[in-house]
Amino acid sequence: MAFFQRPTEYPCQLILDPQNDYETLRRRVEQTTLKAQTVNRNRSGVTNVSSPGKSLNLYPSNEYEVLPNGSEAHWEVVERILFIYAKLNPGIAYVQGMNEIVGPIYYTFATDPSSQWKEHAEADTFFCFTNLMSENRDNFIKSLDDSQCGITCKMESVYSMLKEKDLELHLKLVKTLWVSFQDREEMSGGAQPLPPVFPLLRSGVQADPPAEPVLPGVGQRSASESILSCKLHQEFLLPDVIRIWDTLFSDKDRFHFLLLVCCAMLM
Amino acid sequence: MEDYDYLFKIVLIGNAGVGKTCLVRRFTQGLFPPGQGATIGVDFMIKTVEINGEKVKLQIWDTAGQERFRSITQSYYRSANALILTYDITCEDSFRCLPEWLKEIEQYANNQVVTILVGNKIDLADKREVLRQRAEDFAQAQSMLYLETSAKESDNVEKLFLDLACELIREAKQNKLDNNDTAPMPGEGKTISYLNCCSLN
Repeated sequence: MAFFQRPTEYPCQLILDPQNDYETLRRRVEQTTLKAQTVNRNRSGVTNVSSPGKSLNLYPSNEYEVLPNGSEAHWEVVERILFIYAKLNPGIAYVQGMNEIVGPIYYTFATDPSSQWKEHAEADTFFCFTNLMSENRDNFIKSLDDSQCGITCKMESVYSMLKEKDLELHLKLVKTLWVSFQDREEMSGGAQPLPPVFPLLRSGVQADPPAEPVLPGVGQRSASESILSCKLHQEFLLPDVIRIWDTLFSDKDRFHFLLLVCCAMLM
Repeated sequence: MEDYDYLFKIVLIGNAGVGKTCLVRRFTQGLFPPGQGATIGVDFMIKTVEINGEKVKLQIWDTAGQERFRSITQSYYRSANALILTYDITCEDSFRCLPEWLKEIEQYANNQVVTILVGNKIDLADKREVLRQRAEDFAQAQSMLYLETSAKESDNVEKLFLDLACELIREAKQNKLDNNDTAPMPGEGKTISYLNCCSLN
């Protein structure tokens, strides 16, 4: 993922021009206790949820270093896209997992052979991201999580699909989930809410099987599956992600195919 | 699953400054914020109401009226079960823009969407510029429901949302749709012609 640390050929001149005294995100982010970490560190944001200690070692602090004045790294462009999206859609704002969605889109535009395409990558990405989100924003809205258009329901359908295709695996998973769920209940006295592994699911079910695929039902139930997820998301490389998305987006039955992919990955 | 029988998405649209945000806040929070600023982008609030013993969860999207946010707000039309098209009875201009809004609805919203026309600010009766009859005729011609409200005095605000919820329930039952199908399926709305706004030269 070194791509996102490299400077972009087309930084936002308006902001970088020292004559304009804009308060840049750089400054804001540093002042607000490194908000950039959650926004930009795709992988670490995710690992953070399951094993916060490890992620610190995995990602040395200089990885997302701010480039010298006058240039901008690609991650800063992505950060700006997400920031503006969050500001324009306060009902949704920023939810972990969005970075996983915007990343491949931006990468595709910003690495286009034609310089004309590259030049407008930021605007194009924003447009595509906004449109994609208009189809699946419900998955990112916490108050809809348990509704019939929310994420929990989507996971349920992956489960029932799995049950149909591979009963044995389904039973095994359900059993493991149930056991770890009970363990957890006992440990926490049944009162504590389970850790929010929802973001993982979100991008998993979103448009993004590749980046963190299958965390079936991991959601509320157990942490053991999130380990599974981490393993899987490292197995998929960006080119494969883009290949899979290509098929996903051509799905007329918007994202039914995604459920199939999730299911297939489990098996 | 959560404890409700229906979930409906309602989107408020209309010119800037007609009182969309105030209507939503009056209904969901019971307050009228004086000096409410212009909305940026799209926000939402949720309120669950009970109608004839059935729990109805309303997800109300409040959109920015300003032209510059139009492309953002448009992306919310498609998933709406109902649209509240709002104008200001003391502002002729906001009424004259209604055909433009209807065009937007036709272009972006699901074709089964329920639309209600709302004339807001009836507390300012002495400044009225749009006669009730005129608005009623217009609504009827476009087969829309019509209601006049005051977010400030809380007139008809409850009624607006409850009537809408009743209508949505009626439609849902009539279509014999079960709860899972009330939300429009993605892809069901009309295709948006993306190429209008970006030329590939």
